[in-house]
Amino acid sequence: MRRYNLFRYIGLRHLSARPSRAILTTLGVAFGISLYVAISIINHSTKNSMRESIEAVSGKARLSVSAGVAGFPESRLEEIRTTPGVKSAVPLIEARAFFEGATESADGLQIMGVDLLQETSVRTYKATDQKIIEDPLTFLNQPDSIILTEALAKKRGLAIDSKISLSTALGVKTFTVRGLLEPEGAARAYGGSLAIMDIDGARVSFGKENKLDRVDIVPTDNAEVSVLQTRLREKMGPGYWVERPESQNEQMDKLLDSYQIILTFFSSLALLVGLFLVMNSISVSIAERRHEIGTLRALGAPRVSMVTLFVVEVFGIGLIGSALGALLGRFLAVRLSTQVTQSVAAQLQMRIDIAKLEFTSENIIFTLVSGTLSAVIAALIPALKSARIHPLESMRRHSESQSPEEENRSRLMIIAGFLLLVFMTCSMILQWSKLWIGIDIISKGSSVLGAALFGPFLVFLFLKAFRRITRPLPFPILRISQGNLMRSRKRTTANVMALMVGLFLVMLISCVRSSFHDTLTNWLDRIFVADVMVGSNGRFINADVQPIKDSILPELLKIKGIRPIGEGHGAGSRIVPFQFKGAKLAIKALDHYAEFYEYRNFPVVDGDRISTARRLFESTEPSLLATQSFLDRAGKKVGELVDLETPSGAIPFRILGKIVDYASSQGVIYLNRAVYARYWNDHLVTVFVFSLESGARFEDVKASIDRELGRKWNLVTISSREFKDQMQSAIERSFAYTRAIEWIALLVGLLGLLNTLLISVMERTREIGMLRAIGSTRFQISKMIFFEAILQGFFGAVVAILLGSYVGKLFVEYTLSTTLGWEIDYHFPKEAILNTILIGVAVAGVAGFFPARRAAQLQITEALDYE
Amino acid sequence: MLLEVKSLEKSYTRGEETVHALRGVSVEIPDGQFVSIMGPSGSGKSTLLHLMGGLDLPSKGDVILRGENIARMNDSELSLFRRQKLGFIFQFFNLLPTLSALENVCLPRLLGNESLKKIEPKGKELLSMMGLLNRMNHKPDQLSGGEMQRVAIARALISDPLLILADEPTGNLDTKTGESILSLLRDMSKSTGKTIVMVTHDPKAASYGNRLLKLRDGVLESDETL
Ligand SMILES: Nc1ncnc2c1ncn2[C@@H]1O[C@H](COP(=O)(O)OP(=O)(O)OP(=O)(O)O)[C@@H](O)[C@H]1O
Ligand SMILES: [Mg+2]
Repeated sequence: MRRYNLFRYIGLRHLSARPSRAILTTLGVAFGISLYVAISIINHSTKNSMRESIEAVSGKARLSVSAGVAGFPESRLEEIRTTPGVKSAVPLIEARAFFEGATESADGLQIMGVDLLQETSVRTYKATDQKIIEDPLTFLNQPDSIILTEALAKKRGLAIDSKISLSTALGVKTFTVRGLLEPEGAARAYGGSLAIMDIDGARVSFGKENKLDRVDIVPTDNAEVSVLQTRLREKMGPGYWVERPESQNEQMDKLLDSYQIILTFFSSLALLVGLFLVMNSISVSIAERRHEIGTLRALGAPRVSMVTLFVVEVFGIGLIGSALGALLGRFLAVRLSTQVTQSVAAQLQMRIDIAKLEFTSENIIFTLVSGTLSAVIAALIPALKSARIHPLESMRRHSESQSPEEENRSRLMIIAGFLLLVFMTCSMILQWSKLWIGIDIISKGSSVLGAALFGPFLVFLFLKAFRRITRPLPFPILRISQGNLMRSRKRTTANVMALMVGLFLVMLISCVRSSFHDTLTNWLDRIFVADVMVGSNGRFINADVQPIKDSILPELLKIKGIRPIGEGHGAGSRIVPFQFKGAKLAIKALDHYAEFYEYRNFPVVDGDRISTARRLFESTEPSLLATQSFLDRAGKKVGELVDLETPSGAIPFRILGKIVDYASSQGVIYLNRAVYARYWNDHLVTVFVFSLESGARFEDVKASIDRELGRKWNLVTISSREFKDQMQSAIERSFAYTRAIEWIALLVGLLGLLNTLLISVMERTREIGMLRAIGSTRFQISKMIFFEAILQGFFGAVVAILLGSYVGKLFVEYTLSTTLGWEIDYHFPKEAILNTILIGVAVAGVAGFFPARRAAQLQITEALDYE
Repeated sequence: MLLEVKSLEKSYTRGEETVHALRGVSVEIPDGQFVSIMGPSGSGKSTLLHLMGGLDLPSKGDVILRGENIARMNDSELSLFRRQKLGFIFQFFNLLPTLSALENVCLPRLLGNESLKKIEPKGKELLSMMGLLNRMNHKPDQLSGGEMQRVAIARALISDPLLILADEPTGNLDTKTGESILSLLRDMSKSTGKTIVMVTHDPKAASYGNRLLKLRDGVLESDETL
């Protein structure tokens, strides 16, 4: 028989006779791939947007000089200008501003304070009315001028001459839109959330008088960039970064990589579940057609064509599924991108605006090829088995009991699953991933694969125990259901695998989420002792707010009901990102306010809290407290000195003690704000904290702050309760995207279960006919199928809970703590037990509904004639 | 009269085409008869048997079993009726592979939510009548074809039915085993007075009964007493 004929007469006929299976499998592939596609689109686009921002802002500059968030003295610009090899050096002020009333990072925009007279030597701008760039004098003459990008103006419904209110270090200020930029050159940066101001105006508005954030350098034509770089480094000294735009790119990529690996890991799990479905569906399809295959073989069809038949079938399914998945992924990417970037932004402490989601035709082709290929590979294993079907099979009656060979194989799979779990345990506890990064990926993979292979074994144990318990009970239907599950081991295994991987993921994510949540809330309860927080608007919790000048403190203290914390001391803290050995740390510069509370909120570990904290504020020597991750990075111990590069040069700081702080995963250091202000020359405050006078009500205090100062400074006053609530919801939000992963994995699991249950009903058509003939009601039949589904869902969930929380514990205590640099305490998610079981049963119930109905509707006489 | 079949018609539509499987069959079967139905393939034997057993509903006509018209019953009434008043024996035995022989025998009454304890004595009695008491805990795949069919006969008797219907009960057995099954049925019919209606291809098998109906193209061609 020609292969083509085989496909035409057998394959296609089969597909068209049972379209539901083909559709289910295709959808499974599509869903599995969609998440993978979505995550890669987002990852890719995030990186591209970051890169584009960096390139757009850099323009023609080959080098840039900067010194961290606090900036550096304006006077140094001249030194840069006069360095041999510098053709032009253009100053820049960078700041974040927020629209009045903003509560979300999304309501913020990036301000570039530039010297328009010099700008064009580095960056290009294209305004709708080009005059403003070419002849900026009118712009400069009006100090409230601002230029927005067209995109931003459109988003907020603004036009030329519109007024906008932004919160600045001086309070709320009104600006007039003088020009709009087309998305070209610098205007492409930050996803278009960008505004241009005159550099002098920006300095005043954002508390950076006499300072610069950055100088962009265009070298002379004959200058060697690397030589110039070294020369500038030497000239500027410690605390300054002289970098090429490319290296900024690299750093950004590296920073994003660590985060994106986790995303990719989760999304590839969904793909894995999809491939399980393909494998499962093909192997059942083969089992179901054994007889037919045997007959074909007896009629002389060669082995190769049997395999080809299935491969061609799967090729079609894979191709259509991948195409659907690509479409769906594109759609998902749009829905998920905000959640993911918010989560990344929260964890990496930086702002991310995705300019556009990129999905090129190359991506599409890659998706199609890889999706189809993985589907074919997944199908190859069972398809090769079909070749081994003996022609005599056609004569044999269908038997569901396993051959000894098959039994051996399933035993082998259980052992393999167990070994994978053991390997994962060892590699996590013994930190083998430190030896080779690949081990990390392998061990994550083996946790899932191990659970998938070993899980069904546990499910069978539970089913057996359950059968023993229910044996004396008068539920014949339940017994028949159980019997069916035990009898067709292979099918049950496949079902449980598909379903369990999804549930396992749900449980694993729950573990991680609840551990994070608990660790952070406990910590927050500990460090947060004040009653009232006052800051400017923006997002409090990740300190993404407009800092305010500390000179407003006396005014704040005049408010009735407010009590400063500590005698004669301020109550401000400045939270800024800080570069240290290529990592992005957080500095928390604190006023000496905590004494009042006996430093109750100082999360000092391995030491006396009170004396350690007091020394931080009273020591004459510059000193700091640091997290373990900082100590690791610096290679220092408590008591030693560490050099911090400040805008005033490299300063040795004494490490007084170790703290726990989750503001940045890469490391946090606590400084005395007076010391910080001295070396960084930065007198801004991120947030003020106060206590309430006894008897004073928070609401009243908030009302008077709003009345007296609120308007002018655009202050936001929140209670500690509100802050903690915000923090909690931020944690929830940073896990929001995981919901999509859970949903997809469960959906694919559901499709898998639906698929096999349909097959199971079909295979047992005659049996069902008999049951009906001897007097089962329709309801009893649907109950039987439904029970089967529910039992698999229930025990699948129980096993997923066991394995998921086990792997979760290891993951949280070992992998997560080392990769994130945070010591996260494992917290068992009790609430997830019920959840997971309910989800498992619900998914199974939904999957069981349709097959149960189909079984109940079977025509008895036809069912008896079946086969 | 135990069973009255009155001008029974059954037609199937398959696409455009309508197949008249039965074109007006009337027959009366009193208590205690062992009736064989013969006829060429496609003549409507199975269809008639299915309608007698309430497995399907006729297009026209009535099936009255002990005064009750099963052609007018709804699905759940029919299910209950089958469970309590009828016994079926199939060509392919159709035992549940997950249940033991004894449980298979008790299955119809288990479906009625009676406890196994209560049914067990009767089940054992029937199995010993079939000579299978020592096999009662075996699963179907540990039994031979003849043994399976004897379990199926015991199952058909567990509810003490009015009528036993069998569609080619020996079709899947070798001649010798088939004969032993047939004599078992005949003896059972004689000793318990149960009414049996059996469809068969085989004239030898038909001769075990005491009445023979012949069908051709959906009509009753002959009705003779043996
Ligand atoms: N569900 C159905 N749909 C359509 N036609 C049917 C159906 N069941 C039976 N028929 C047709 O009705 C006619 C009678 O079928 P029936 O099964 O009663 O014959 P039979 O005498 O039992 O044949 P055999 O000896 O082959 O078992 C046949 O032509 C058959 O094709
Ligand atoms: Mg027939």
